[in-house]
Amino acid sequence: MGRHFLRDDDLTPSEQREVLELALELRRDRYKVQPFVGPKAVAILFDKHSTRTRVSFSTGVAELGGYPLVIDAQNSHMGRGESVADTARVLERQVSAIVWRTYGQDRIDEMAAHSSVPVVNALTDQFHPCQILADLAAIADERGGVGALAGLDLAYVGDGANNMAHSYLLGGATAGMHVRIGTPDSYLPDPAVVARAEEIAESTGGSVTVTSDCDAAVTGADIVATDTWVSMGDEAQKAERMEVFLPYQVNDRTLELAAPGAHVLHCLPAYRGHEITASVIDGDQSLVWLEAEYRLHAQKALLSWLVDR
Amino acid sequence: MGELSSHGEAGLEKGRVETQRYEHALMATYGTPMRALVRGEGSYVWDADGNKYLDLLGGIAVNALGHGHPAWVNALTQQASTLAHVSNFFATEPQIALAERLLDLAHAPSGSRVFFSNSGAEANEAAFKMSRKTGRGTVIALEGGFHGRTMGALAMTHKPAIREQFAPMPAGVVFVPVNDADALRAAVTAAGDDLAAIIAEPILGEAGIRPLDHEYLALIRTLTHRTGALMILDEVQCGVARTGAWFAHQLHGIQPDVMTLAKGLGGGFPIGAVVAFGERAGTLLGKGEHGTTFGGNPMGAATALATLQAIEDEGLLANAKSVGQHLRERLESIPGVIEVRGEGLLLGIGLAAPAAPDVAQAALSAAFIVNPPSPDTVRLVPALNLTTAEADTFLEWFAGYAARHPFVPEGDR
Repeated sequence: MGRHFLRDDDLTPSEQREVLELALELRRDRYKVQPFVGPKAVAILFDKHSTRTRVSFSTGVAELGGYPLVIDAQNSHMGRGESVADTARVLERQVSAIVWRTYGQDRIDEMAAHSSVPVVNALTDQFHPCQILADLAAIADERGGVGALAGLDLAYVGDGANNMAHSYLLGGATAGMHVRIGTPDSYLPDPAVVARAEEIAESTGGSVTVTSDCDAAVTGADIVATDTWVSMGDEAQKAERMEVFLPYQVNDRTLELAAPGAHVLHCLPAYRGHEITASVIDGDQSLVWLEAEYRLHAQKALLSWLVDR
Repeated sequence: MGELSSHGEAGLEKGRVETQRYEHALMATYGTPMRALVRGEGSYVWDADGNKYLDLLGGIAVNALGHGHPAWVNALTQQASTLAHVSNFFATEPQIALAERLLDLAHAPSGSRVFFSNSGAEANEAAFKMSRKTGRGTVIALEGGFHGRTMGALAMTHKPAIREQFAPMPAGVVFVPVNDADALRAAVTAAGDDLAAIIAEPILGEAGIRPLDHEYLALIRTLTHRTGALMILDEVQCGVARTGAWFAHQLHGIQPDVMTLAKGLGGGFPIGAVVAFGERAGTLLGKGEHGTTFGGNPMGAATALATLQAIEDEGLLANAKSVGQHLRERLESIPGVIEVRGEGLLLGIGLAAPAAPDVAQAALSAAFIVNPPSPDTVRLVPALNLTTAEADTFLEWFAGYAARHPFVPEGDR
């Protein structure tokens, strides 16, 4: 059975390190590994819209020597109700890996349960683990390597109940970081995810803090991350969200509270003036564009690592 | 192997005469030399009396390829007969190629630069001067750390016995205990905006081959980033494939701002290097702000290039790892050995008693060259192409020695 990557804690701390090291290596030497030469096909499935994920996975598979097979659900039988299990059984016979952006985590878990080839979570409602790999790789590259991640203070502020917050909790704890979530009490992260992150942090020397005090979350932080306040599927509550998250905006004052030279992350798309100000995302301390670039390198590293298992 | 070949009166006399001449002509800084050596081949050396020794010290981690490696000899002789020295007013191909190779092996980002020196101490002097160029004055160094005996390097070296008589030292250096995160944080806080650099050996050599914890190295990286200070790693002893990785920090997945190299780099030819990572560190020293006459001359650069090439061609990273692991496993099972520290072929045998000088002396009599960096540590830093069979001859002798001379802790005597 192949290894899958469905949530951030599917990689152990040392495995995560291996993947991140390879990601940094691939930024320097883009064609260093070629596991899909043949070319072998990788199915990249989308139930939801995507820009960065579509481009980075397609380009990445091609650079790994393979053939990216991009499938939109509405244009395939999956969109007409073919079961996840049946889809997995068909795909595993023809492709070398399956990448999927979908809704509930249960769907990707089911795909993995029926697939002998690696299944990669390219975003679910609960987790966005490929994004966190890219974030960690970008930080590592900027700060002197993967080993430098351990001990960093990473603050995520905004919607604490979303997939990015959950993935920062698990992925950050795996990297040995001190993960702080600053979010309103009505948007707390899933307690099960927090508990799991605490368990991981125990073994890696990291820690987990969840607070509604945004200033406390960002004070002294080495990394400040945020995400759009209105994620895909949340559009109905837009007005309410705008109001409740306003105190969690990442702006110039946030940077004054954070550690000197702190870096800022945003997984994009960004709404300037809402969750982040233009002065910050377009400023010197923004790592956003390197972060976006690292989607490519990190996902290539992950795919290559998975098919080698 | 195991016992010296018998030698007659005349041979014994020859060695004795050499040491007497030495003592009358050279300063006593190194005391009386243990033997006068005349020849080397691979991992073996011969003394003036014709005795053969297995060299597990490698000129203190210098002879990465052993003695007389053909590719190294060829590179040196070819270069000597082509262009031996021109000063740093002129560029030479070997020097440029070596700098490029080091940047490549270190995965250094764009803007990174190399400075060549003659030795490890001078590389650390350059790094020290770079820290001053940040406009800040405080350098944090580690207790037990050793960075050399020139004045700047000595200022960053902890051992009071080798410092005190040369006071006053260049100012601004504070020492913190090794692997103590709280003490490091406190020192960084105390230094405030004046913190220029933190310097550390990833594996402390003279302190007895003591590795820094992964978490501690990561903390140095985090704190230097947070404060804008330089992270200087002294890889003079642990760099250049010694640990089974090209550089010891690569075992931890971190990258410093400055790395110093020497010892193994030239495979026996004196050369040191400072690798500055990234544009900021790479441009700290500008025109006229530092220099050396001999540093990176064509012969040194050519032999270093040949050394790096041979390490790669002959798979010596893997050999250092596997022979190192073999030594470690066997040594750990010898009674009285409480731990084996280090990585690859940079090993410290930790003894239960401060008997390391006795072990080194007995080993020499039995035709093995090792040395004690601290009273309870025997250091093994042989050629990176040492074979398992060669290692086994030492293991066999050492196991026998330990059986005859149990290492009893001082308190239990």
